Amino acid sequence: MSAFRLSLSRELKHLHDDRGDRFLALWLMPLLCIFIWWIFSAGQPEQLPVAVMDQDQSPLSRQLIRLVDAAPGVAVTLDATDSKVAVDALRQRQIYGLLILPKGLQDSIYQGQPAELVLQLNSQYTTYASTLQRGIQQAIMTVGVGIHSDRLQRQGLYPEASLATVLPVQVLATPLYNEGPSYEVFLAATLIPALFQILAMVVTVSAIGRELRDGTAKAWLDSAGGSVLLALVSKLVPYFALLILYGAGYVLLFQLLAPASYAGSAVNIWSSFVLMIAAAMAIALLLVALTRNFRMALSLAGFYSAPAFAYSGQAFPLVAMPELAQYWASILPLTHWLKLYNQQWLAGAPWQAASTPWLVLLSMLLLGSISGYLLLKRSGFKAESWGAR
Amino acid sequence: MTIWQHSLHTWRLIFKDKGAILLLFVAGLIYSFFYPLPYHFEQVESVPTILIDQDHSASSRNLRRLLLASPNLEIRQISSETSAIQAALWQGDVMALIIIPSGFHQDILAGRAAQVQIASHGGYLLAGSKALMNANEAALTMGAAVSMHKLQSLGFSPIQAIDSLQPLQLHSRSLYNPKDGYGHAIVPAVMVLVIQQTLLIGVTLLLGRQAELKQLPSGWRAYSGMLLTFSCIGLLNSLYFFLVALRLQHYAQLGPLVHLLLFCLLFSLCIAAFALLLGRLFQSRERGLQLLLISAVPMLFISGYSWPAESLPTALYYLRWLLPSTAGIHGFVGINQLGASLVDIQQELVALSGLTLGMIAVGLWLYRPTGKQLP
Repeated sequence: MSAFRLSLSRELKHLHDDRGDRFLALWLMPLLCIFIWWIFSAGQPEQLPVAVMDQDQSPLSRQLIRLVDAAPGVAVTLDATDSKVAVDALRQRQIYGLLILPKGLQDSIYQGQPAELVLQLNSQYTTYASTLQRGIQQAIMTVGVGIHSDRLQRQGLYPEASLATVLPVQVLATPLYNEGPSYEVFLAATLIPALFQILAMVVTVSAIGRELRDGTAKAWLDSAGGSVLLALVSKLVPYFALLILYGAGYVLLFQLLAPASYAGSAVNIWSSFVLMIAAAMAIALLLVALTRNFRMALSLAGFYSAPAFAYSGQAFPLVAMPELAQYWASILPLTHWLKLYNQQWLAGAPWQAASTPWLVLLSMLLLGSISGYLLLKRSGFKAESWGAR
Repeated sequence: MTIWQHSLHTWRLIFKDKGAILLLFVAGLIYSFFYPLPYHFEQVESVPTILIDQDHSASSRNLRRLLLASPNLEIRQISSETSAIQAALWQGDVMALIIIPSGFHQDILAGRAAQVQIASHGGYLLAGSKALMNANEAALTMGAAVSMHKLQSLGFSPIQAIDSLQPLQLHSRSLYNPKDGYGHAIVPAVMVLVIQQTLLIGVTLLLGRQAELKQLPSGWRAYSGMLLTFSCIGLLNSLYFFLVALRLQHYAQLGPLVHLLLFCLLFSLCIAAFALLLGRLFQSRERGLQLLLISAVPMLFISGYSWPAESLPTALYYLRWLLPSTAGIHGFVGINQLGASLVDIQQELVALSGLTLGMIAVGLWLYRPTGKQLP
């Protein structure tokens, strides 16, 4: 048997024997992918509870409440009689907004006076607050336009002309890519790669760190015929293969779930995904070669990859971050891959536009793997580097 | 050994273990500054936006002035070549695009509704919605002036015209997070997760090592002693995060202090009991690190905080309470940010108490003396 196959089968035997490591490499990622997709499977926030305080009790106020209740994402669940009830319900998070329809609302409108409505929002819960604000604003605007054009018509204007008088300048919003905008695509599809990056680092550190911890690094090197390069490649190949296979599954899943959201090619985005996984594994190799301590390397890999999504610029844009945070973001493979995600997959840009992120990821891969390889070769196979916990 | 001796023994084990010290005490300190860093400015202050004026008229220049004055738009001048604009959008150098189509001025003069188009990159939702909001405001401001003019020409008095413009005015007020800060919304929730995860990983690291050495203690006294020690560490971290870190970084802390302390106590007990369960299940020192590092992100999103609980699948809506972080996030955010008292977070209290009792019961069973273990 060739040295490569011998060393590879040694690693596969370990995966066969060790239930925990097998779960980590084989099952964890598919389970998490399905789990994340399941969390966001509703696609859009729906039926978020809001209270109304109807101090007017008029046909107009009731009409408003009906329209607010029918607005997308909004459900009127509480008819608050006094403000204490409403504020308590807000603090207890039974409702996330309170719409107050003041006394004299209908009278003011009939007299041609403007009426003021107040919407109080729990803006600590941002998704609730923004969904409610959007839906309710829309509903009230619709009624307002109706009232205004009604008035103008009574003055003898034509309906179309009156609508143009109310809103002479209108904004027509069109999302360029990711039409919807569906959270399923916005969040789930970008969180999953963040988990891939964590797992790629964890399995790499684990596979190598284990040999150093147990003092079996010599046996590992011997199985590969004494070549460090061969030992590393044969050890990491099963994990790499599984991760990029699951990566293909991830790309296909979202391409099938939301075909309209993705203008780019699946093969294109998958190939850059493969590069991101390789870069993350290379950095993990560097960490374990530097520390030669399984536990320490795992802790560092966790520090590096676990908060990566917060730094990646996907949820909160990079331009809005302090400079220091932008530097940190730039050393994470995920940041550069998500740029490709937005540009290549969502927007369908030509591959020439992707050169910078590709080159950055490629240099991360080379830098990590070459320095990791050299460090490991120099000191990883000496008995004094083993056994550290 | 008595409970106290077991507790003391656990403290000694911790202080002999660099890895455990790092996770149980140092990691929280570092994360309390490292995690909030990207959100330091709280807001998307300026969205890089391209404005394309195809009308070149008095009206379009008028709107352009209003857009330039918008607080969150950073209007960039790029050549009007479609390819250059496209490239800027692809590179993320520009996140929104506003087009004033030709005929804009004519439409206004003719009394037709004039349209402005705004397009934003759907991948960057936060920036896109900010740009849309600003464009809407500019359009409304300009529209109001046009309407006023028109209504007055129809014979309305200026006051009548103003009153008539927006018959229903909606005033939105942001409670609890008045500036709608992104960091203010997300950081207090993530702090709860950091407290939980560092304790879980630190404890499984410590106990995993004991399991390898076949020295994992058993019996109710040992269990109680360990529970005491780990609860103390959870409490220490909770107090640091909610009394020191929150204040240092100017996050709100509104609720009554006694209620906060009581909730810290219950939460610490719960995560300590959870950590002991996992410590019994994981048989090696590094297993906790391997499995738990990746779990924080899913835990945040099933808590029903960032992603509304009402939008979770029904099964998850109930199952999420099996994690201490769910009640912890809503409870701590409730007390600190919403100024809730224990009465207001009854639901969380009940969930956390039930969970704690259940986990202690299972823990006592898992750590029962089997006879095979050392005394």
